[in-house]
Amino acid sequence: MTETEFIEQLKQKSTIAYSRLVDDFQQKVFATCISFVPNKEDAEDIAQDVFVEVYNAIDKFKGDSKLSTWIYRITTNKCLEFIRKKNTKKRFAFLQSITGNAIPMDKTDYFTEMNHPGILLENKELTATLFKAISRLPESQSVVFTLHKIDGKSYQEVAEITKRSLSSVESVMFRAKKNLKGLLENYYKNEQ
Amino acid sequence: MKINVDMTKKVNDTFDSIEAIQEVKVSPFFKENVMHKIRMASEDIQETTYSWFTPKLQLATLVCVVVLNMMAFNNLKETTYDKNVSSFAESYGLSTTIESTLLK
Repeated sequence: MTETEFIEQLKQKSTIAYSRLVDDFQQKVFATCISFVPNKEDAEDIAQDVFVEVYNAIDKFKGDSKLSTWIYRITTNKCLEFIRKKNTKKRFAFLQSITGNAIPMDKTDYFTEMNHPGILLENKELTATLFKAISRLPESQSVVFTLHKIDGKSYQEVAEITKRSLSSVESVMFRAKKNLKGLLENYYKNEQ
Repeated sequence: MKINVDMTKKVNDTFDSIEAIQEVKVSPFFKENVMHKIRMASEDIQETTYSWFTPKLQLATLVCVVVLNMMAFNNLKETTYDKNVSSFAESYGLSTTIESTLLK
């Protein structure tokens, strides 16, 4: 079956087609989600929402990119949406704690509790520091860095997902690395 | 100098920690949960398609259709056969009652 025929079946809401789609993409979508949100439960929830979004929005898919690219784009947007929502909640909780409406608040400044089963115990602290530093980058830089370095996508794939040119991805990546280095140096300086 | 070297090592170690992240397998019930959510979403779509067409609106539409039909039927009864024929004749110039202005 060609991709066009498969997309047509998805548009007709065929259960068999969706079952195949989940088989083909569940691991990849989940991998992208856990790269952005290093918490297994949260990442699974987001990945599930991605497939529901694909089901609801498949009619809007015009076929101007590969189906996989479109799905990764939805995944990235869902992850960013989740992070933004969590950060807003954190800020709101912080404001409430200042104004005296005591709500139990997580003191850490990271948007989620780190629970990534793929991180080795001896690297836990280093990786947590890196994830926190990534969350402080401008969104465009954190997206490109996460997709390429953590999720392991090629520059070409990142360019297609983010709708940027290859050279633009390379320059954003360069800036992301430079900024991350600065953030980490500051962090370790303050730690001393 | 030593501090700088330590700092660079720490930063590099932090960057290198990415390479050691292992792949995490998705839960065994993931697909089942997704398919359940998709089924729920499809039911929601079906429900929302006609949700605006409430029983009250359905009754009002039925009444409108009945009234329109009755009016149309009454109008049809009022128009006589002669009227129909004469209007037909007039429109095709077959009428004998209309005198030509040229003859006057």
